[in-house]
This record gives sequence, structure tokens and C-alpha cells, in this order.
Amino acid sequence: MRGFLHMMFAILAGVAAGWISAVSLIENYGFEAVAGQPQWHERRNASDHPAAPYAFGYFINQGQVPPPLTSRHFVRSTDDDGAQLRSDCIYQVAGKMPPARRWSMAILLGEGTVSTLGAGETVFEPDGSVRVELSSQPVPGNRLTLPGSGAPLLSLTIHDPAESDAPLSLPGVAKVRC
Amino acid sequence: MGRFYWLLLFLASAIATHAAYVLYYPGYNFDNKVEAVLGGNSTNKMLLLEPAQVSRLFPAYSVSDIVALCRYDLTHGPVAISAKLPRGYWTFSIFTVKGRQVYSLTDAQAGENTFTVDLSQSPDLIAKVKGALDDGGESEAIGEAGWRVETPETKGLAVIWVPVADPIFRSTTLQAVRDSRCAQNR
Repeated sequence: MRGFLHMMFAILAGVAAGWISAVSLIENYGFEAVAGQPQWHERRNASDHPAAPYAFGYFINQGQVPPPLTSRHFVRSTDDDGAQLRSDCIYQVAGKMPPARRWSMAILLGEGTVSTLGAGETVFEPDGSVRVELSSQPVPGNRLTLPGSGAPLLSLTIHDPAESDAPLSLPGVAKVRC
Repeated sequence: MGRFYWLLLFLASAIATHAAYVLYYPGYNFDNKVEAVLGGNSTNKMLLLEPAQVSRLFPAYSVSDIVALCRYDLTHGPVAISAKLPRGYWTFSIFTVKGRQVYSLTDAQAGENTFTVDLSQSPDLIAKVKGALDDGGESEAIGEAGWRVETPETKGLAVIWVPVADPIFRSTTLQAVRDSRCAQNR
């Protein structure tokens, strides 16, 4: 009887450890801070990357199709000062996008996408840079809607970048006001 | 010796659970979630997605983009996918139900805006086992603008993505993508 209990305990503890480690790695493994812009994290999902199965799991557990391998996918949850993005603040994403055939940005919350903005619907500055306001309220110019509450994530996907593996220079996110 | 046995049992349970959760569970979960978004009876058909469906399924695309999707099921044989797309940037991707991308084609790689892909399941067990561990996809060209693709899984998604360069071109682009087909090979 004692041996049976030991066996059950070892199996249950193993199942718990395996499950916790899988969930934890799916959430975190494969996110790499971008050189020089540590607020941006790149999700590595190339098939030959050791984190690939976890990266696939990260997206499909949320019922989402992973970004195609011809793209590079970045996310951030903080502004340039390192503070968590908040729904009751207004932020400005400003800078030049890396050379690529297309890019798209999104505000994500939990398992859903709150708003998106693609290069084709963006008004660019005369020097080719972009300025996008993140706000829950209407503002003039390019805007990505923040949710009414919760801790949003900002994602940026660069499709067919000129540099498929080198570090990319991405726009910053500055807090305008709260 | 006794403690070593329990430790071994603990490690074996942990590894099996970890592998099952990472490699197999997401696939079953994903198929159900996709069906919930697209509705039942959505297999082996090319569906032009509504913006809300694009937003729900594709974190990397803008809702103003045009996305056509085929939820393929190779249980009853190969599936043929054909498309005639507008000039400009587009991508065609095939994912397994576990989220692995097994095939990718862009306008630049295709060289033409019309293509056909014959999609079938890898015939041998080794390819299926390999598919659980890496991308596992195989493809070969057939004819001028056709490809034969083998995937290690029976189910998955084929996705055509056409970003709209300017909103005024949206309706003409939409019309072109609407003619794309996905059907079981007879």
C-alpha cells in the first residue's frame, strides 16, 4: 500500500512538473530582447530555432495562427521609460520602420486583438517615418485603439524584412499623458 | 535503489507530460478554436475572412488586409488549392494544425500571380514522426506555376494574405481573391 502511494505521488508530481514547465516555457521561452531596444521582444518561431515548438504553442493556445516565417514578430508591454502600458494613458509610437515589404501593428489584450494598423492605411511623415497614437479615445492622425481596461501589449510584425536575421531598429513608444 | 526508482518515475512522467502538452495538446485545442471562429462545415473550402475573423485569428495582420483561408482535411485524400491574385505583395502559407508552417510562397518567389498547390499527407511514418519534431514539410514544383506539397499532419490551414496597398484598391483586390479555390481532389 505504501509503495503504491509512493508511485502515485511520483507520477502526479511528475505530471505537475511537466505541465508547469511546459506552460512556463510556452509563455516565455523564445522571446529575445532586441539589441539596443530591450523593451521590444522578438518572438523566435523559425522552425530551426530551439524555441519553435514553444513559439507555435504560444500562438495556437490562444487560437491564433503564428506569424509567417517570412516575417519577424515583436511585442512590448512597456513604454520607453520601462513603465507598463496603461489603457488610461496616451502614447506615441514614433520613428522609421525597418526596410521591409510591409509592416503591421496591433494592440493585443488576453486572447484577442483590440485594434490593428497596417502600412497601407497609415499616413506617413514627409521623411518617411511614422507617428501613431495609442489611445482609448479618438485622436487626430494615425491611431491604435487601446482597450478600456487591462494591460495591453503592442505588437509589430515586419513582413519580408530586408534584414531577415540582423538586429532591426524599431520605433520608440513615448508616454504623452495620462 | 528505491529512491532512484521513484525519481526515474517522476522524471518519466514529467517528460511525457511536457512533450504531450507542447507537441500534441495545442493542435487539438487549436482546431476547436478555429472551428469556433469559422463555424462548422468549413473544411476544404476557401473562405474569405471578415475583419473580425482576421482580428481573432491573425495577430500579425491588419483587419484591413484581405485574408482567405482553407481549413484543409486530408483524411479523404489530397486537396487542391488554386489562386489568381492581383499584382503586388501577397503570401501563401500552409500551416499544420499544430501551428508549424510547412510551406511558404510569396509573389516574388512565385514569379506569377496564378498558382496551384496540390496538398497531400506524407505517406510514411518516419515523415509523420519527424513532423512532430520539426517543420517536416516537403514540396516540389509541378509544371509552370504549380507545386506539390506534403504535410506531416492530416489537418491544418492554408492562408492567402494580400495586404491592401491603398483602401481604394480594396474592392478589386477582394474580387480577385474571392476566385481562389480549395477542394478535395477527385
